[in-house]
Amino acid sequence: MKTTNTEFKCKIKPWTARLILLLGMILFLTACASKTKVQEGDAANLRAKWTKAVSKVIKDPERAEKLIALGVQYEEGNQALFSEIKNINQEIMNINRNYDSTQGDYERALGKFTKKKNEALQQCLDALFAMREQTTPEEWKTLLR
Amino acid sequence: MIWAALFIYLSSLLGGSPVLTGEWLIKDSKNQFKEVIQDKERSKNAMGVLDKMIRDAKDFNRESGKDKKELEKLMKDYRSTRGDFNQLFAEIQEKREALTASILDRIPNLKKNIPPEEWAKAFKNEMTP
Repeated sequence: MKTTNTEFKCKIKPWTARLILLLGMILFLTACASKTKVQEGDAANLRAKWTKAVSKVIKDPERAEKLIALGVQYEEGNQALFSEIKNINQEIMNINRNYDSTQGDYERALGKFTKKKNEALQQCLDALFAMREQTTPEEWKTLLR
Repeated sequence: MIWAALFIYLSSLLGGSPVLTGEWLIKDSKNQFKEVIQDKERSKNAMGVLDKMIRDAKDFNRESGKDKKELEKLMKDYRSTRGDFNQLFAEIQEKREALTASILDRIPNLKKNIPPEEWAKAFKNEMTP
């Protein structure tokens, strides 16, 4: 096997290696670019969704725009927090899977879970009150119907 | 749409970990262990412990339905304050912590009836939460 590997290594010419490296870089950059496009697409979709819902109810463009921006920001922030909560849940599942886990192991992970959830709850409340501030009682009622 | 965006996120944060108070415990745990416990007597005992854990979790979920109704009222009320929400969250957290503590207290009893190798087998093909 050793001989074969050495022979194989000798057969790769420097220009072939450079070509492989270049192709690898192109693939890597393409992957990064598509990811950014997807993220941009997500933000645009969110914005379109919020614009459609808000502009029907709030006729004042300035307040409507503020509410739309808050809504998009809120959903983006939530996506990140929910992904962190999902990871902690995975951690709890791993603790549960391990027969030797102690009550302390569960309690530590559940403590982290509660802390992150409380952080998310406060973030949701911040958004809720900031959004509500941009509306009249009637508009709020219609938006939350 | 806005209602859904706000309510779904907020209410989903009120529950406990799906591992100990939801999905895994209620839906999967009994089947997972039933398949691997070799001894009838131990299996019966373990199922008994799991039944108690599941009953507690279901009670909590029923209560949680009422809490979600309360949350809905607060969200729709233009005059509700942050304090109103935080009071509700604190009450829910207290109930969740009590439930979690009771479930954790039962785990040693469960393990008494399931040796490590059967425990490992039960989790071999388990789904992630």
